[in-house]
Amino acid sequence: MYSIIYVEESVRDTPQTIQILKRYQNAAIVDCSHYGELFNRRKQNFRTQKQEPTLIIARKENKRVLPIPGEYAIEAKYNFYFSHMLNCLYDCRYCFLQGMFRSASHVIFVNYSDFKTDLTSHIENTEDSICFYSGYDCDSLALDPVTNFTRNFIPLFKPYQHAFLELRTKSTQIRNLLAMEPLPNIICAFSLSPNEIVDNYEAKTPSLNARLAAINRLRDAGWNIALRFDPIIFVDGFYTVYKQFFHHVYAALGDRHIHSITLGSFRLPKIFHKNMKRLYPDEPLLINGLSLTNGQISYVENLEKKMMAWCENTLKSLDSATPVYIQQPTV
Amino acid sequence: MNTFIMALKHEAYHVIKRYRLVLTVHQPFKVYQTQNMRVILSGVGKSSSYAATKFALKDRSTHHGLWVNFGVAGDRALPIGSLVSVSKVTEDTSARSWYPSIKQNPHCYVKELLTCNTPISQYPLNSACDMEAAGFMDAVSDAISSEHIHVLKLVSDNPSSGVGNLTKILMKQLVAENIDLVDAYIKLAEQNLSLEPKNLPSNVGKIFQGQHFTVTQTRQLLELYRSFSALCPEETWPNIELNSRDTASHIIAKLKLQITQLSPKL
Repeated sequence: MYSIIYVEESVRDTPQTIQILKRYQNAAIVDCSHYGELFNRRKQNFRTQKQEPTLIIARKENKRVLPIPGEYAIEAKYNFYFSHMLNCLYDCRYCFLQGMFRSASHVIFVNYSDFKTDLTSHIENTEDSICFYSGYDCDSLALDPVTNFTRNFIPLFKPYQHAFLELRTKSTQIRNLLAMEPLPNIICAFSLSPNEIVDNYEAKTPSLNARLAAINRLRDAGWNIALRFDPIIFVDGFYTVYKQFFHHVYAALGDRHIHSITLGSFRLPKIFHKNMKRLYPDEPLLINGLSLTNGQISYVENLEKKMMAWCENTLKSLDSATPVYIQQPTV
Repeated sequence: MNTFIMALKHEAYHVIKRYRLVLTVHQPFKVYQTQNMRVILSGVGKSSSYAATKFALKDRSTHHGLWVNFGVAGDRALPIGSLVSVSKVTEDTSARSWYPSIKQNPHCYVKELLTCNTPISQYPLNSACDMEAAGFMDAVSDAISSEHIHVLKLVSDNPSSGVGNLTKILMKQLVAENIDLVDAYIKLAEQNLSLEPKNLPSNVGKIFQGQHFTVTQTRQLLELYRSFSALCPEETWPNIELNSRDTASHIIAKLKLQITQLSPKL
């Protein structure tokens, strides 16, 4: 898949790097001294690079575990995110990563032991509930066969009942998970969208039905499953599209237990939106019904309220047992 | 338009011939060009290459094309006549590095390159060597999107045939033998060019005759036009009613309203 791989000199000989490089024996390997030389270059075009992303294997030096904004938390008292990877295999037109990063290269940080040390330290620092999100800067599972992220990180959570890990994904790469013993403090959170959205705006992602099938296999194997309806996208025939979608999801899941649901409407920081419009000036999704409020681009207030209230009510009518959390940034 | 920065006329000879380029500028650097391609002759060395690239960058209309440093290089391991797509350029004196784009193809090696101040006979262990690429990269990297920048080198000398054997005739011959590969490489690289953003249509001056738009208002107008084009790709210009009293701000407000009305309804 990768024809060019940049490798930071500091991780050139680590077992993790060697293992990844073995998978891409035809790729050109280029040494670099720091991933930022490539990833943070000023003049780059995310859209062009996305056609054929390169891979960068690197070390994350510091700031490996960071707090998340309070409004994104669900249940735990303390909430953090960490990224073993930057960028995503998928090409979702609404994704904020397009506006946040200058480069579409995939970066894998292979110094897992440093991440694990930091996570352990956070976990052992508190007896209150603490949750870690791994799918903020990347899809948690999409590259799991290459990174072995789950095999490396999930066992760390086994001794700590007060520590949770949310894997956020659109992927069906669940083989590693199915081969492991399910843990009650791991949450496999699947981002789901109606087929109309998947087809038009979620390029390279598995279909809705493929994701639902993956969810069912994981749930049947004993894993916690969560549903993430975020972003809710304003489309023609919104009520019909989303009504059919929610019904389809629940019909597919049957009476399987769901850990939690989050709902969030399409929103972006102003600067990300500006960058994304520059990349995709011909994309109606980045224009339709959006307005600027307090530095945040989101659907005009009434529209957003109506959409979110309707989604919440519809979901509660289908499933009154699962808690629904609304993800709304306070700006 | 694609821009080639090349050191010597003997290296450029067959490029000029192949693309039927015409000498259009004599000073400070010779420029050969047609509508889609130009070659700038920089002279030897990284300072010359830097200066020629900076000169070429002054023409902003070329910034959306490819920028290629093409020329001959030495290499310890590769046979003479090998085409190399350079993955990393390092300046020997400062150890600064740049990363040009690479296009992998079966007829082209991918290799790092060291730019030296003088011709060398002790070839570096793992990289090719030249005298210009670092100057080119230094000048171009701040101005041009990284996917548009390429360094292509033809191996002209190696331990079995040192730089002393490199003649003008050999240079010309090497380029002539590889010009089809270079052409194929360029065509492949062109597939990854970013799109030039849409500009206001040329007749916009006529539509708004008499109204004065400030720089900010012109930018807003362009932004709104792009939004309109995204929502109505078939239409050339929004159908808004204008009257003679409308100022630039009225026009912008009317455009904004029209775009809002174009959004789907809940």
